[in-house]
Amino acid sequence: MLKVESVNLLQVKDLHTSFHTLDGIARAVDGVSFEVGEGETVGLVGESGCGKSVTALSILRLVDAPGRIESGEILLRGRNLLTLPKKEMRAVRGGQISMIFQEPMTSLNPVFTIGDQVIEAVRLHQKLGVAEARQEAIEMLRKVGIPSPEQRIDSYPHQLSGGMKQRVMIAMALVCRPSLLIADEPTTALDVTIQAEILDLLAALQGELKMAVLLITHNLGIVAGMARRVVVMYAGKVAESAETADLFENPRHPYTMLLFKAVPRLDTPRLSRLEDIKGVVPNPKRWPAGCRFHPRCPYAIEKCSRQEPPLEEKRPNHWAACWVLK
Amino acid sequence: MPSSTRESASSETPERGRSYGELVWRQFRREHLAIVGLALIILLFLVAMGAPLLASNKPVLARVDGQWQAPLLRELFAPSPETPELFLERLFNFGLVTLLASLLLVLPVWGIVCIVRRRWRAVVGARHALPLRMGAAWIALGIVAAACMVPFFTVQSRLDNTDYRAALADAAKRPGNFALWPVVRYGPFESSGTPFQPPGREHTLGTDRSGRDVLARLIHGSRVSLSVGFLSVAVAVALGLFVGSLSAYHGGRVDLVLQRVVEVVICFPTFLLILTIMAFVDKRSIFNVMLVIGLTGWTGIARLVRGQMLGEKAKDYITAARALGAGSWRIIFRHLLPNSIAPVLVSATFGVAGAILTESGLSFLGFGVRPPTASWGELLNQAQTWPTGYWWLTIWPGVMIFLTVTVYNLVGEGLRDALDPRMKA
Repeated sequence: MLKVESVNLLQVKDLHTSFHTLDGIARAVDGVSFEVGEGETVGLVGESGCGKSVTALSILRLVDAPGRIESGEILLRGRNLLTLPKKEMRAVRGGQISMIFQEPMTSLNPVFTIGDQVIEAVRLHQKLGVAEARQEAIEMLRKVGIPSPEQRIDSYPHQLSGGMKQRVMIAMALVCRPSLLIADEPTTALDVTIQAEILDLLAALQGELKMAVLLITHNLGIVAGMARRVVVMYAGKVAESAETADLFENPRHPYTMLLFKAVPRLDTPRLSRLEDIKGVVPNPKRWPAGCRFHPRCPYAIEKCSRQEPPLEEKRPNHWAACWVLK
Repeated sequence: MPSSTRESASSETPERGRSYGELVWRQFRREHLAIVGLALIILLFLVAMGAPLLASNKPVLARVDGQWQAPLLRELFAPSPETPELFLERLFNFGLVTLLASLLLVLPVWGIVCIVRRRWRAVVGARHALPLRMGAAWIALGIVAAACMVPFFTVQSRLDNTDYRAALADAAKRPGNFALWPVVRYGPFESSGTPFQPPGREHTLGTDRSGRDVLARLIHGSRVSLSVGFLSVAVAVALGLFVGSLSAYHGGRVDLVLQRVVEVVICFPTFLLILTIMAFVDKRSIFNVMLVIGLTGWTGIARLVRGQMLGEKAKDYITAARALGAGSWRIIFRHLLPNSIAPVLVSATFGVAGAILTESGLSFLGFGVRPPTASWGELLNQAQTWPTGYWWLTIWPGVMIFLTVTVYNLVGEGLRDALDPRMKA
């Protein structure tokens, strides 16, 4: 789909994940394709409920019943994860692909020390003794900026602040040197100064460990600062996908344009209203016919409600799914 | 390297964190009634373990005309007569012997270690702690326990019908002889008085229909009652945890089937089921009772565990553990169970009380332990003929049952309050 210079680490091809509930099938992810190159940071952007997190969980095959990955391919260095036996999939999780979550408060097991949990992460993938694993864990905690990790390692999660917990989560995720980190809104639950610290930390560790990051967020500012490429999702589909600078300067999908307008800026006149996107993401059990964005789209023409626009290369390396914008 | 960490604790060394267990214990200590209850439960278990030392017709130690005798020792290692509950007797005796041996051996050693440690700290300084851990104490305890097991296999059982009371009373008249007796000088099985003797100087709490001392039988009977409570609940908890966690973790069809099984088992009337089974089994023993109470009592625990785990399973740390590549057994046992165990503990404590009541009821109806084994319910059974007349056969065991059940309930309630989710560090 998107041509990138670096070798493709992860290729998601036409992924369909849906939830079979009593009152219908919710097609949360409906034909999503994108790629992440080695060492690259890709932003996955969209409103709440547009399928970002389900995409992430699908990559790790962690979608729980009643959810099901219906079709598609997820290739990690050419190996299809969806057909992998369970045992090999477990080796991939945490070993090659790791994930960190939005809510650091509930992402650590409250009854064990953080050391226990980091050590567990080490020993799940490396044949190390407890003492060696502990050393490894201390090293990793130091790397993520936990002060005096030799003592902190015996702390319980409730003794740490939210930012500290997120650092521990990052340590657990990265201790086995994965080649891809999926960060699912890693800073949403943190306050702004700590957000910046965590993002700096992620960027520093990414450079050091040479891993790729799939950054899921609805914060366009974070994407602008971190990601080289951006995939914009809407209603379970990819709306637009381009290099970050190109996307910000020249969005080719009305949804992306409206997203930018909804971000508060310092350089707009003080009394002007912040524009929002009218309406909400439609119910995934009843996606609108045609272009899924057309009920909320100010540019919508008649064709939009009848026929679904394909993802087209509007400019070199800039793909968007829209009938109106060229 | 990462930027400076502003939200870190200001540089003082963090205190060693308190584990979940420590937190619960801190909270539990504030429940005064529950602490009293816990102390009483421990006391009850000590009485049950020390039953031979508290009530026996053999002296612990005697010196007759220059000869040392310890007739209670053989009784301790090889209890007689042969009852179906002999295993239970051995178990409690083993506990008693181990306890005494460790008190005699480990405690002095531990004391010395503590003194050496203090000295060490004073001389070398706290920075380099003496490399001794609690682990050493546990290993020592294990060795002592293993050593205590040996005589239980080697000592032969022999019926010793010597009337030590009479013999030693004679001997005591001669100088230089002495005997160390248990508190109550009657065994639980011997007819030492006339039937239905009311409480008096001879027999403090009276005698039963065979002229056996009621106090001795009460003391020895606590072994049956306490172990029924403990073991049947252990069976129930093990089964309940297993079924509940499978049900919650796998969900879907597994959950559906298991929950229907639970619903079926809930419908079994425990008491009637036990009566039926006891009527069919030829070698009737207290273990059947325990097993049936356990096999019918696990349903509530299974449902509790399932509900608790469903709540925990939705939390991010479970997804995080799966995202790290943990397998399902690891997630159930390491992540889900420790976080869902609290209500089970509370329920189990109440279960113990219930099981003790069930056993008393069965023995009262004559379907519990077989004679000559003593149990509280069995004493109640004897009072059936004339409950008001033989009031001492009603009151004393009744008080014991009431006390035990109350005490377990107090502890259960204290535990429930201590485990309250609003509990704060």
